[in-house]
Amino acid sequence: MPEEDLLVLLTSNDFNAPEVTFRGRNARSSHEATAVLGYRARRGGFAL
Amino acid sequence: MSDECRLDEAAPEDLRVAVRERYDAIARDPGIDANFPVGRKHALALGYPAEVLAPIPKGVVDCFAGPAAPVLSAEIRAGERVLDLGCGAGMDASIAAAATGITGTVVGVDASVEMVKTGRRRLGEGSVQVSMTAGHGAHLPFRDGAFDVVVANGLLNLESDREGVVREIARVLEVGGRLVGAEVILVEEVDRSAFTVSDWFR
Repeated sequence: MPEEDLLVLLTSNDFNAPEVTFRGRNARSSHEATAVLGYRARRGGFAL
Repeated sequence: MSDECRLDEAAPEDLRVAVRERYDAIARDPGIDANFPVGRKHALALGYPAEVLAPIPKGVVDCFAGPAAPVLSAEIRAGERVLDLGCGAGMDASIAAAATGITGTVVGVDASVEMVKTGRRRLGEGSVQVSMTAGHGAHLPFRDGAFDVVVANGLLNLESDREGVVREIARVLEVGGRLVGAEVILVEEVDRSAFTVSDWFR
């Protein structure tokens, strides 16, 4: 899924905008169009 | 349903079954060609320290297939209640249990019955205490606010009902509770029209 879709999915379900902790190569895949995004979000919109 | 079935023609339930069957097969034999990396070597490459993996039963680590190591940055504290959603055989859940200690609780949920069976059998042999159950993320058998932390390592990218799963995560998390995850994301446009179900795993 596109990163923007993930962010919308979270923020429309009571999570704050996630803190991105990791952005890197997708070790699971040979698909060059994908990456991995690590994130932390908090329910209720409080800052992490 | 065949792995070569076109992705845009597959029903959500078909995709759910395809994912479940793929992970069931890995649980039965972690050495199969899963179409993505699995196991201890993969975990080490992602940054899991060897000393963190050392206490976890080999059969659990062998089944690990997450795309990253978000549990390491979850800052889980003693006494916290943790849900590992899409737990596989329980590697991340075991790491969480080491952090919560005996005053906390760790529950793992996975769609693959075989993964849960493997985790229960192997973790029963080890020192960590994790309860595991088979189920789907869009229908979690927990009360509102039951957890302080939800870990989701590569959950949503293989999920056909992402909205339902995130809604359930929000429901079972305490207000102020945190979701710590990693997801495979698209970094450029791809033409999905030619994708098969097998591509769902890439």
